[in-house]
Amino acid sequence: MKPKQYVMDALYNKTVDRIPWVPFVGCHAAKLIDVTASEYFKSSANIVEGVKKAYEIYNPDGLPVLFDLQVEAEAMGCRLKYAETNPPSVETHPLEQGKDIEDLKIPGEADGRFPIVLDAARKICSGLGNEIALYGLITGPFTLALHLMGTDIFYEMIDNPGRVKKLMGFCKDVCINTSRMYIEAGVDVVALVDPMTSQISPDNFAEFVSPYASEVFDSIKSKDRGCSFFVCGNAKNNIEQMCKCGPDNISIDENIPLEYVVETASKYGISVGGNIKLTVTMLFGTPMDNINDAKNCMSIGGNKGYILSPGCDMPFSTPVENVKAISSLVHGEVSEFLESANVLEGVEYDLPDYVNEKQVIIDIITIDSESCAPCQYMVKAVKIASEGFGDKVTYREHKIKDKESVVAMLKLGVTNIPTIVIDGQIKHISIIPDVETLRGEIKEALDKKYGG
Amino acid sequence: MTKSMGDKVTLKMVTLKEPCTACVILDGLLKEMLEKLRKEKGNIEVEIVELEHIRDVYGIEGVEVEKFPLLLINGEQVTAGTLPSQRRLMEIINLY
Repeated sequence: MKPKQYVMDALYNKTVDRIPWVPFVGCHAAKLIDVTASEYFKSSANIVEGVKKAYEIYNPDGLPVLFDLQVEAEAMGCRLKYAETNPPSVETHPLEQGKDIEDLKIPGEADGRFPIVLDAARKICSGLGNEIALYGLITGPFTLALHLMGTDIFYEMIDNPGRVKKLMGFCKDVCINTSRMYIEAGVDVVALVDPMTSQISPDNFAEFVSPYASEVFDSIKSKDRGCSFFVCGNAKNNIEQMCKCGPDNISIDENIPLEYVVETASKYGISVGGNIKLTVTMLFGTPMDNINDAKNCMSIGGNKGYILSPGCDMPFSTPVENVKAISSLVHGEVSEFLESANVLEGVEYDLPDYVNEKQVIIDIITIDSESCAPCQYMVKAVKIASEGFGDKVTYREHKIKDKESVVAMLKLGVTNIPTIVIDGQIKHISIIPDVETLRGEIKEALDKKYGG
Repeated sequence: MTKSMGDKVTLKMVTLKEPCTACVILDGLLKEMLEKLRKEKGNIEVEIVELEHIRDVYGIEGVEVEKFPLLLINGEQVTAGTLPSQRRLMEIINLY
């Protein structure tokens, strides 16, 4: 199966045999090709090169063609400030500077940076579109309205709700037109990215966002493309409202517990994505931190309707090795990655001489049974199965957050987590055995040691 | 808190040097809001701190919740990762 199909199946809430991986490479792609963020966002050639580079080194199942929530705003008259290592930011708001909603024009193919962005999108889709799922990201209607009106929008929601609804209706039309342009460029999924909705209550969301976002998703679905609703920040209270808007998928950051979103979205048959910690893990963590965080997300998200991805676009300076570490986990190549990345230089772990040891030794390789549910069940299964054998059987958990445990894992030849190894022989990978099976295997190992 | 006419009120915004796109938007809106307040009130001093590394936040007095952007008024944290209401901010400032 092609990588793209993993994303599309998970997006449409189907069960997949491998969780798809979509690193949100935005301005980080600029770093990959050694240009500034400013140079990146203003050049079609740089965007194409950056996305291709991300495809080559991160082995993803999907990628956004661009992660810039200021494109539409700029095309409608907002002045942007470009930065060396960040996406551009909006400096002025036309509706704050005397313009009326009627003065605003829906941006088309020729406006602002759209010629650059759409040219890049077409080239990326024609080059990579058969292999991976490509996302076109549009600025959500509320965030776009904030760009146009500034923070006055929060007062206007109280003082003049009719004006805000008029603006939201206009922004909805912009969203539909931008999604059309991305779809015509060849994207598979349109993501409506509306991070600023995390700043409003569920009631305000239902009144000022839902009717407009729902119409955008209807429009995307009518064009036979997948659609996702991205939010950042603590939007836990709005997740249910987001589901009611009818996207195929909801993507969140680390501010919302993934368990809660999976549970809520599943009631609506909607898939989920995101949640890898952007700052603590991806920007400032180690490769092991990234493997652990991603594994934790995967164990919560599960094989039905979960797309592994960061909470938002990855910061410019995200270490490449951190992203590669997650890719290695997704593709079952953690040991190879850790060996090649020299993460374990100088770390020692001596395996016991299993054949000559007096006890049967069970090694359980986990992330951490205190934080990872499958790991917890696997350790519990071993504990119960070992009962009654007295001191002839011993077991120990190797948590791969410890480097010594990773060395043990490599020496045992384990590539997936959690795994049970009995006397040096890999017995169960990822799947938790029933206690009877496990007891039978322990007896077999005892018979080998002491004679049956 | 005791109010004394003309006392300086310091608004310190703390954010990351490399935030995600969503935080870039939030940062921009908060900076604008602080600038408007500074222009409106004569006794406000605005300080923007951009952290190279998240651990640098431990060196900033008054920070209790490490979500960005965060805002301190005279060393007391009033927001974390959210955009405050300008009217509410003004109410708090008027208490100083």
